[in-house]
Amino acid sequence: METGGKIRTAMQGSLSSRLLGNILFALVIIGVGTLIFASSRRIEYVWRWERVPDYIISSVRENFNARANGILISDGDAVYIIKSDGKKELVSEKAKLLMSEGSQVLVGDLVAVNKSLRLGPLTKGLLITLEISFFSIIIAVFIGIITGLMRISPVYVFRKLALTYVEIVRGTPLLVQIFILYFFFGKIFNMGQFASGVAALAIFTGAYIAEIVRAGIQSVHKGQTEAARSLGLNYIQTMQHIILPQALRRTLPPMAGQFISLIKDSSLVSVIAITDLTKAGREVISATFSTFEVWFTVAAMYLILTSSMSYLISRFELHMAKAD
Amino acid sequence: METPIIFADNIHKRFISGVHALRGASLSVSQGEVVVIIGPSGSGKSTLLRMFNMLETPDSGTLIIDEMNLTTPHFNPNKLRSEVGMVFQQFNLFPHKNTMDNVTLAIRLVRKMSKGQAEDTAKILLEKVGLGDKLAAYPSHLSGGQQQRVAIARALAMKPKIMLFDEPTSALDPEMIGEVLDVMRNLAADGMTMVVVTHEMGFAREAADRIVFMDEGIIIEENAPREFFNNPAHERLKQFLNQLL
Ligand SMILES: Nc1ncnc2c1ncn2[C@@H]1O[C@H](COP(=O)(O)OP(=O)(O)OP(=O)(O)O)[C@@H](O)[C@H]1O
Ligand SMILES: [Mg+2]
Repeated sequence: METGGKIRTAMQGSLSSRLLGNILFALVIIGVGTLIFASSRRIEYVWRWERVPDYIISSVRENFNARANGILISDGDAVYIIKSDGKKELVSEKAKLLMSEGSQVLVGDLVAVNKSLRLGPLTKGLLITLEISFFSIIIAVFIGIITGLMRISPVYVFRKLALTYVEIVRGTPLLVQIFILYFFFGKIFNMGQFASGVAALAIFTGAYIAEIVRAGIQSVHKGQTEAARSLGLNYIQTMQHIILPQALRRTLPPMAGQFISLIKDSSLVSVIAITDLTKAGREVISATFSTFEVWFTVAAMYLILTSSMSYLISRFELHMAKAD
Repeated sequence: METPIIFADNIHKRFISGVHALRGASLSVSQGEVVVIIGPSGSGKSTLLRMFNMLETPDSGTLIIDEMNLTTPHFNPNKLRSEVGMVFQQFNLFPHKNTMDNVTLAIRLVRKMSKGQAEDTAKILLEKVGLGDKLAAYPSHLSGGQQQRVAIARALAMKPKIMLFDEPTSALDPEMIGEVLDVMRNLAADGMTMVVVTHEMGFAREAADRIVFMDEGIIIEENAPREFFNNPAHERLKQFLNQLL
């Protein structure tokens, strides 16, 4: 009896259950995929996936024609024509020759080309999203730590201020906050869209981080503070050297969740005319009508950002764990 | 008689919870004296001990330590704390710092000692408590007895005038109690002023100059060890000692 039980659990724990699970998973995905695909056949829509790469990165070809008669030369980057009077005429700062150097050319001849890669609108949007997220996260962490410390401060007015901020931010929708920041505070403090967007996201996320930081600090055993204070460390030294290092390590996983939320929530700033990834997607669609392809692509690009973030954080956690 | 280094008179403490933990406790300790506090659980031993480095503050009474009057309004506890070392039941080492950093942290931050000087001090002290080979170890890799010895070295690094011990061996496995008590005995022999709350009657008998018995928030009896154990005066103390045997 006992051995039978053991074998069964061993099998469940290892190969069979996992393999079976993966097969089932694949079947479900294929099934759902087929269903969606079949349904999408019934609507009239011309899929143009082949266009999508251009929205991400496109290669542009620039042609250069001779603007004088003369002899073609190149110094590796720049292309010139030496005219009959000996003067040099610049054709292009950077291009590749189409004819051999030293050829005699006439006005209007196509003499050189320059192929370059240009970021597509979606990639530009992605970079803006990245930029907004980066600044917002840094400011949010800063706000969050300060507010978290204020939440547990011995000074009543600090606690009250911090709590009020947290309650207001957590009790109102982010979209409304973005509008208020842009249309009201943006106007009175003369902030542009970008600054307003970053401020809104940082203030929003900061409130959540403050609660994470507060919980982290409170989770550090009281004995740590007592030991530090009994050695003569003051409040700030105790926080800085003893409590925060331990608290912040514990807050890393929930904070990572907030960072990921922030990246996703940053799509809302597209409402104040910031050309982030979401707005870039909308713009491409209005120009091309490739609605479905673009939204799928945009989703995939967000997924790349968020999963890179999770990966970075997990590496960092591993690094921290090694330090003990 | 010279002025005591610890002078506590008629100390009262009522916690917000309503518990009246100290009800007029009085205790004087002279320079170089080793005083052991015993008493039943909840009698206020820890509360009294924690007054001596201001982890608790008295509601009323007089408390003068090393000529500092702790009941002065707005008294800054940091000066006092850097002269009074404390060792806790749960060790309370800093888990994110290794042995060396646990010991050097306060002397660098509070005493403003250079890194090199602080590390030299730490090495000497850790050698003294028998942990000269554990400088780089983190607390989680040390046994309870080793952790408590690091905690003692950490407190000693500040060159305190007084060392307070709150049940330093109560959280230890029996086989590790000896190594910690040995360190404490050496410290007592070196002339350190010590106030020790403990249930280790063997230690009290050999190392203490005086034993005090606390019950319900006051000290009801104090005496030299031999008299204390052989001729207890109060009925409560007799009962308490009988229970221990
Ligand atoms: N921070 C606190 N808040 C409220 N009550 C407390 C606090 N600290 C201690 N007490 C109470 O005060 C009384 C005395 O506690 P204290 O810790 O001084 O006793 P003790 O003699 O050290 O006991 P033990 O041997 O169990 O450690 C107890 O009833 C305890 O519950
Ligand atoms: Mg106690």
